[in-house]
Amino acid sequence: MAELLLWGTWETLVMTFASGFFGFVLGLPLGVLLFITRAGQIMENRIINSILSVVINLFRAIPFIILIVWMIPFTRLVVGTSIGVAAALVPLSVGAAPFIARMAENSFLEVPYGLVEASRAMGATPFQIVCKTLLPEALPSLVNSATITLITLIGYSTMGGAVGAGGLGQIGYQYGYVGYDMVTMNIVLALLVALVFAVQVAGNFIAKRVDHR
Amino acid sequence: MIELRHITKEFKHKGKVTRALSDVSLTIHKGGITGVIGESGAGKSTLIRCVNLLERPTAGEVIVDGQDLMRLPPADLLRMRRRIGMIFQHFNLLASRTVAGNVAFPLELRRTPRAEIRQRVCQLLQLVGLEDKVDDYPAKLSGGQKQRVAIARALANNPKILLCDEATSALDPATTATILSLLKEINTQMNITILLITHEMNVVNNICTDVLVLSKGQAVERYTMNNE
Repeated sequence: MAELLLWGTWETLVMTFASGFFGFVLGLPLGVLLFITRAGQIMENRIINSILSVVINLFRAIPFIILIVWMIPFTRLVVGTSIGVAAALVPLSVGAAPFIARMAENSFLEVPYGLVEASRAMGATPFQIVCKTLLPEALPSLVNSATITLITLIGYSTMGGAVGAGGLGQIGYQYGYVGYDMVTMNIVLALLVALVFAVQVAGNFIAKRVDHR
Repeated sequence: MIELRHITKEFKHKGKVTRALSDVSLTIHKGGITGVIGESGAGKSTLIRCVNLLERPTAGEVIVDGQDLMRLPPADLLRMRRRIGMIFQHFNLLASRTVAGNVAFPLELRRTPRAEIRQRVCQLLQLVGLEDKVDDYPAKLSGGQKQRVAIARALANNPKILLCDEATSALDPATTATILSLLKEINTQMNITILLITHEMNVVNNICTDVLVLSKGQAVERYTMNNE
């Protein structure tokens, strides 16, 4: 039993962090694009901004548990199967990306406009403004966004457990919901609570370290 | 050196057009300190932003060193901006970078070799008297110190022109005096032409050689100071 729980915890960790990583790889560039195409920003473009905004809202509107099922054909195409940890990574990443994009956009909005203006005055290209001004200045806020995202992903990955994703979610679902084994269910809950706390504490610590404001 | 010819700038907001500047002309002489003074909302900030095209005028010409900036292709405009230093009311230092990192910023933008950056940063911080703050973050500095860092940053690329956007308006009178004397020093010793905008009369009286009075987007008076 202990071994099963340990394995489940490991799978949940893998799903959370790997999909968090891929979510950022997809979502952060989207967030940058969403921000710089806003009215009054460095690459103002109403059309791109509106299209992007609509697509992001669409994906955010799909309940995660439905997204998993809806994406099965695509998931099969990418990883060859629709069950297990690897298969869960696909909808988790795609589910997290638009969420991350919006969070990143908000982080950039917190960067004082004067800093962008000063960078422009110094002859920075839009790319340099993104890399040297926006991203470093938004870093503390982005770290906080990452913390929130990872915690959300812990929740999502357990939801995935109900439809064959593995991890603590599956154990909690099978032993708790199906088998009504109160002890196992509560241990799973305790483990999830511990994970959430650990991520939050680590996130706060890193955010504080990178914040020089 | 800088010529603003018949500058008009209109802003459109929710279908309503407001005119921030109407037909303002200004010639800035090499080696001088030109001041633009006016109440808030007079269009001073817009005017100074037209010089490096942070704001693009709706009509008019911006001539810097004989070149019409409005006609420059983007890459040339960026190169031109690197030769025009600018400092701001709220300093606009990057909170994520140390004092040295902030001064290095414009040098990094044009890919200056690392060793050269280090040397130049050292030199600049000495010039503004902050060599002991190299590794501090801006959050730890006083207002006057922040503006000194901003001045060092603005001078990093050896500009011929320095634009000062209400550079002393967030500072107390004593600090204002020290920043003004630093600007004066930069003007005379390094032969850098300065354009400053302010709403404080004493700033103009203190260091300016030429003055333009702006009111409601129009040039209402211009005169030359003869206090020297």
